[in-house]
Amino acid sequence: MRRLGGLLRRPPPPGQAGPLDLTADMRRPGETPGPGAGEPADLERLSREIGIVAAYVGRLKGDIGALKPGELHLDTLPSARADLDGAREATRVAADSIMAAAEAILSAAAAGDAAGAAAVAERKSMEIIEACSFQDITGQRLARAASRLFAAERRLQRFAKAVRIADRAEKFDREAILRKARREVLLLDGPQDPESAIAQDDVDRLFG
Amino acid sequence: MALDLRLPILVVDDYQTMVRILRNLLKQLGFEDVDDAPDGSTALQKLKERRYGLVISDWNMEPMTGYELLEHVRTDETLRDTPFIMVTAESKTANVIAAKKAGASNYIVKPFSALTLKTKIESVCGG
Repeated sequence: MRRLGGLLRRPPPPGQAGPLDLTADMRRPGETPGPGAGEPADLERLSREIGIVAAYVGRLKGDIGALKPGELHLDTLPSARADLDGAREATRVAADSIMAAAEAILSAAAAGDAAGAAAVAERKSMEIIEACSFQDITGQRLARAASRLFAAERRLQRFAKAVRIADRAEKFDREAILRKARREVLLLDGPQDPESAIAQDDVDRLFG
Repeated sequence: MALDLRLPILVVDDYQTMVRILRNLLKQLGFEDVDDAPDGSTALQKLKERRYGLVISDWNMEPMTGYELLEHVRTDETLRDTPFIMVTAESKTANVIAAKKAGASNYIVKPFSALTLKTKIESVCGG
């Protein structure tokens, strides 16, 4: 019994909120923590402690259930990833088709046969127009992926708020640290949003 | 001084579509002697095997980035005078400043136009 009381009174680990500090709620007004007086009082307190722990576990199970971890793991996140991969592939295929058509038009123009070049240009222009339909497909897939990720983000936010979980300090991960250091040292940030990206004119001024 | 269209050019980019775009644009500008490499390490190897008149390189590549390639080129006695244009989506001011300090001849932010490419080539290759 004292072991359970001690466990519940144990201070929370650094960085975590205090769901473990349950004993304050269990004490009667005026009661101070410490070893129990007699056996019946001990049993009563133990019963209250178990009841509080059971209620906490029940609430926690409800919060985990609302998170729908199975659906996140088996459907939401894999589907979002599949949509992103699909959009990337559709973009690649479209770029290939458009490039091939443009190359064919340029080659025909360079061949010197005006009538032949015009026919090729007409045919390949239609192929370019058809290939541009990728924008509709990728637009829909990206919108669906964004919606799924947003839903997952909302559920995670609700869960973290419900169980009052604070971010724990990252465990030592050599690979992650090296990757991060490499990105920082070699200035690898990738494309920026239009509002934060530097314009070519500004680049030219810096190089001027 | 007019552009020497026989200039051998090395295009370095890990995206084949971008290599193809650059090859097509360079061909339209009149350059026929164009090689490519998918990353900095391969490019450095090619630079040691053949003398190129211009390097057009992406920044973000594995295992060797375009920035590291630039540093290698500028510290190599035989390569240090090779004109080097960075063509990249890395569009933070810090990247542009770092590239200039490392010795980049010019810097083009993706996406870019054929005219921008032409202008930069002319400015670094004496057109």
